[in-house]
Amino acid sequence: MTLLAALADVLDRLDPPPARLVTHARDALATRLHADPLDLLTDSARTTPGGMRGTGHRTMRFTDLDLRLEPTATGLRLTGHAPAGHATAHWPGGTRTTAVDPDGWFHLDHVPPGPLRVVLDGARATPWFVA
Amino acid sequence: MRDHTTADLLIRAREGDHAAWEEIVRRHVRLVWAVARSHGLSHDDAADVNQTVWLLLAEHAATIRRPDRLSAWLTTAARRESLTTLRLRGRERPVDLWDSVDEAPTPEDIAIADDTRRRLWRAYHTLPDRCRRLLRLLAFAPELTFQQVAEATGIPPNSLGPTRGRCLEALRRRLATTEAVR
Repeated sequence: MTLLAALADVLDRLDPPPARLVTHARDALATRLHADPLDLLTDSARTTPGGMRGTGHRTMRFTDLDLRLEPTATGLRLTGHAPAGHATAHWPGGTRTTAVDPDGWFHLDHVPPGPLRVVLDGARATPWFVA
Repeated sequence: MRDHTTADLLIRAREGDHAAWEEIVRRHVRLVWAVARSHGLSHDDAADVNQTVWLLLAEHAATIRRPDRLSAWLTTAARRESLTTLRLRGRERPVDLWDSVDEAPTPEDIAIADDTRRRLWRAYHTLPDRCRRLLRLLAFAPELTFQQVAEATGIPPNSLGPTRGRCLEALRRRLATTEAVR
């Protein structure tokens, strides 16, 4: 056994992927939406030093969607602006939908931190990202 | 499924074949976990990164141009999500299993019945951060090219060869030292 193979063996025994994570990975195939992609254009977490810790919120811009995420005591608050009828936050094991007002704004509260994506009218979706 | 190529499995998974998808997960879940953990993310944050990477792969399986390079795709995605998560949430607290080197045997130590493994674990944890990250990635994805490893670790491609050599040499030396003091 080479030194690197021995190291892989040791790491696998002492810091293995948690079992629930393997289950989540297996379940991922069932989450596919076959929606049109809303591509990420800018993300303050990738451009601002300190990310959300510096400013208290994170702003993301996708094609046809501006999104602001704020941590609150009961999860994340999402504020969005998009040309759409309704917007849905998807996280593993849950969704929450709200209407988009005539000016294009929407709010979603109590969104759990972790993997997240936003879907517009059930037809256009952002990529998954860590929120 | 175990005798199928990864490219073949990916094509089957695109069509909704769950057995093919589970085999892809089985082959690569350690790599994605290793990339996230090697960035110093906490257990929970590394778990979020992992789940996000697999959700991304499920959605994008149909658009991956080089299925034979899935390891590279996963490594790149895991690094990108790890860096974003680090910026959002910061590094894990310094007190972690990484820092148990000089302490009494931990449950982890006891779990390693084999003395050789215990010494390798301790030697690994005395290495600089950069070496730990590089060796962990190389251990789980030996098929990655220099360019791909460079992108994943942030080490410039032209210094990767020498850095790899130095890190392996340091690991061997420290392993020898722990043997000498026994």
